Amino acid sequence: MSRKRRLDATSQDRLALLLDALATEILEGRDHEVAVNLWDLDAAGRNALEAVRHLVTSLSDSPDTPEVSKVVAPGQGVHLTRNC
Amino acid sequence: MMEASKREKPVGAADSGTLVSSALAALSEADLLRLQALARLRARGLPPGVSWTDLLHEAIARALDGSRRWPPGVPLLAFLSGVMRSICDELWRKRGREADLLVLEEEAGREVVCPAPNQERILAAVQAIAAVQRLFRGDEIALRIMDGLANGLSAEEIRTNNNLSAIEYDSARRRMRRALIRIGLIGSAP
Repeated sequence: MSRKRRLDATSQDRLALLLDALATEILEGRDHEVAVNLWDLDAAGRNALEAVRHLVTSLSDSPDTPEVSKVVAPGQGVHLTRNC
Repeated sequence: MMEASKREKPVGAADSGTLVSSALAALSEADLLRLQALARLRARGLPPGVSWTDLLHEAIARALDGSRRWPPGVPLLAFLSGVMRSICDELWRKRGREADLLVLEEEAGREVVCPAPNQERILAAVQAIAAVQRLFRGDEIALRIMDGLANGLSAEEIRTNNNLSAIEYDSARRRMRRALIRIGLIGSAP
């Protein structure tokens, strides 16, 4: 199978289809398949999971939920390309 | 996924946010792991400079404030996955609008450095596909399945095209699920 791909707009479509399919795989995974990873969790993994728990619950507990401009924009770098 | 994270009746924005808040608080460790894996996966399609935590944060914020309502009958994680997907699209559209403004400056006779958001997005997509393929490096069957998924083929079409038995196909998909969850836990693949 060739993995050589043209750099064209179809790459966007392929990525969208792929991510949707893989997201479905994650969603359809059985609890015991996920639990295998939880059993092997080391301290760093446990901390990472707790960080997600904290992110989820801290937002739920906050009376002011952030807007996209406050959350996403600060970390979004500006990437310029000289092509004209 | 837990049944408690599904709803059946339509509600308003405020009620939707309250229900999302309750469901988030009740997420099991397994569901938190799935959520993390989904955010890391969806972040592969993001513009540079936006992290998976930004994406997850924003998706949850929109679900909580009711700007994205949780549809009845949809599992919470599937809903949040869809919200993250739409945020990715929105961010790329925003980049496109910023580029349009710079092009207008050029038309006004000013010196301008043009971003190429479409090219940037295509390049990001190519790199993201390559990164996802690296997750399954060495697993030829998984790579073939991924190629089929990226071309929108059904399970049956992928099996037929690649001469895979149902057992081979299902085993590979289990390996793929484990890898995706593991990557959700440990971070990006090499």
